[in-house]
Amino acid sequence: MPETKRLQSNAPWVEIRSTKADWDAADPKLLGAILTQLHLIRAFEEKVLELTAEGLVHGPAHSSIGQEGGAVGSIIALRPSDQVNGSHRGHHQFLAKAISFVAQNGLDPTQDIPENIHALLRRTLAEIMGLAEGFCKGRGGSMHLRWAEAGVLGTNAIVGGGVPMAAGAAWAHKRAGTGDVTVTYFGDGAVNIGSVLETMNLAAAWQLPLCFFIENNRYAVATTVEESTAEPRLSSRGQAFNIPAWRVDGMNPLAVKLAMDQALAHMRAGHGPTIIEAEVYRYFHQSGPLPGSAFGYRAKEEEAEWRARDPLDHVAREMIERNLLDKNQVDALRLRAQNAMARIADALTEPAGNRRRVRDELWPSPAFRDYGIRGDLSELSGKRFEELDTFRGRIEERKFIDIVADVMHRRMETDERIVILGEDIHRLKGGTNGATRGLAARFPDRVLGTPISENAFTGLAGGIAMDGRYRPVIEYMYPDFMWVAADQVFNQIGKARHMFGGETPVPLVLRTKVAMGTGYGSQHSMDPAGIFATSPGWRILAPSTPFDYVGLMNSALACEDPVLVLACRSL
Amino acid sequence: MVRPGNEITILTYLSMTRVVLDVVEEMGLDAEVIDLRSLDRASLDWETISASVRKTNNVLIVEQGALGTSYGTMLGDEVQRRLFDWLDQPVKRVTGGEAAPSVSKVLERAAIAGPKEVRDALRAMMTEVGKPLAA
Repeated sequence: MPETKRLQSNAPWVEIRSTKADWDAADPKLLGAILTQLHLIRAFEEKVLELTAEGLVHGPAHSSIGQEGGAVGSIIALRPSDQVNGSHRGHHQFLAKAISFVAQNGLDPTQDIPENIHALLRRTLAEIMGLAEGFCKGRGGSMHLRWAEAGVLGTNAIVGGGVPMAAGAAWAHKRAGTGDVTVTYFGDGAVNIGSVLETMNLAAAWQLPLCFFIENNRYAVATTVEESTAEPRLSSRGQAFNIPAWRVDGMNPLAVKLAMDQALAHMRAGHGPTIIEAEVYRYFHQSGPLPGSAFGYRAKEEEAEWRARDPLDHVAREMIERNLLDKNQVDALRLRAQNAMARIADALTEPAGNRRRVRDELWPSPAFRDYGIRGDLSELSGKRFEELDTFRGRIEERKFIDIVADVMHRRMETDERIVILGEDIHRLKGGTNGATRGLAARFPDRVLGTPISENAFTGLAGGIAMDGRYRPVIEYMYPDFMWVAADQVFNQIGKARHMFGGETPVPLVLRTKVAMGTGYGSQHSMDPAGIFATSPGWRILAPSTPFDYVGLMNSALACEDPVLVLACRSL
Repeated sequence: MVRPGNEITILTYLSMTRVVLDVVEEMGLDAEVIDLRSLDRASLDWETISASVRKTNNVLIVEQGALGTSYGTMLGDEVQRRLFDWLDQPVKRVTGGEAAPSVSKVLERAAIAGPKEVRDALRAMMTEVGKPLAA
């Protein structure tokens, strides 16, 4: 008879609820700000659906109506320098962060909506409608909404696609020592995808200040959580990666805030990532103005049950009970928010027969189509360029691989922003090729050996690059591993600058070697140049001599665009 | 441009640069070899490439790897669109085989391009313009 001993995970996993005492103790100003934000977001989202029904929103409109509590409750706990990113359903997080950023002294639910909030709402709606005055000049729309100044790194159209990059931003915060954190929002549909799970592992291994905020609204389009996973308590993922997790009622903004406060304490103290699972409900179908029940995958009764837990009503009720507001004031707030959105929609449209259309002059120019796919290389002007045949300095014969390491030594010496990442680069006298020889000993906190998770560490590097304070250099042991990280390489890093309006540098260097001829076979022998050449955001450098390697790698490290630097095993 | 010449422009990169230079030397061919160095569409040195093609009127793109993911697909399209009127024959390409290389040494060698493939291509091109090389 064998003996067994029950093993336990090390990470705490709790369910957190607010109590009457919590509501009693809550600062009325806080509750007022929460209520105002909820109403602004609700009115905004209703207007988006209305415009969608009129055919004025091109593309999908993934409404966050019903889910505002999770966004407002969590984001109001953050500071302006904290950051968030989100998924395709991200208007509520975008607005919560942007509004909190613009109204740092709070929002009074009984007062007129300040002009700067009005302007923010207009600019957000303009972006969703694809108009030139939008945050991304109309390019990004709903799913690529970014306002870096306010700490909104971007919504993302790929499920889970933004999560690795959020880890990169968190890494930058940790290195800078500011105590700032990043919160990455995604849904029950994303919790089972590689990007998310790989990043959970990496963030925990590296103790990054990253909050994985799971908005569990129970459905991924028409597929239920129960169908998609054997463990539908999604915060349980923390148990596997040693990440503390909180499960909370996302329809209760105060409970969400209290959960976030605890998570923030953990992260700001440098203890690593956190997971918050907020149970929320989207009243409408995946996209558009019809309820989910119209499509048959859930019942009208269920929808009614969740509407009865509406966060706007909940907060108002608690405030009225405590004589912080009366019903008339709540109704006035609602009307004010609706009127603001009606005025904004009017400003962006004009009558067209018995309908309306977008004002012609608000569209971006078609000539803007390809602007900002990459930078203009102005960062290289004034730099010294040399060719071997005209070089007047000293030349000596050296091994190619030694030059690879030497260039990195020199650059890391003169530029403390440079950090390098890859598998085994911190050991084996310079990784599996010797390309990083001596670097780990000299710069131990800037030479990061990664777990085997190209997708996560590529995205992490992308996030570091977009943050801008540090310059990441990643190594792929074999170029074929780009396929493992393809979404981060091509859909995220390769498209980021253009997608967000053309002004966002992504200064990342990806180093790899072509290993054709070494007997590693079908899955290790590709030349990646052809595939990378199909992605216009990437620059590709291929030095065939050590002399050229020095100059080209220096150029790559100075460049504000993502650069693939190829080396060859046989050289 | 790493070797000046008048008869053929050879566009190549990475390890095939050395291979091409050695083969051209060995054949005594008057070929112009350009080591591309910057490969992405926006960074290609069209000034150098165009000047060369206007001089030689014949282009060979040499790369080591398999055809499907090959780089020369993009480059060949660009060359023929920009410089068609200057070409005496279609843009020729040296690549590896169709499938990705296998582990077995003999099969791997057969799957990737090497000196032999470069030599054969150059011979074929010279024949094509009526200047066949001695056997």
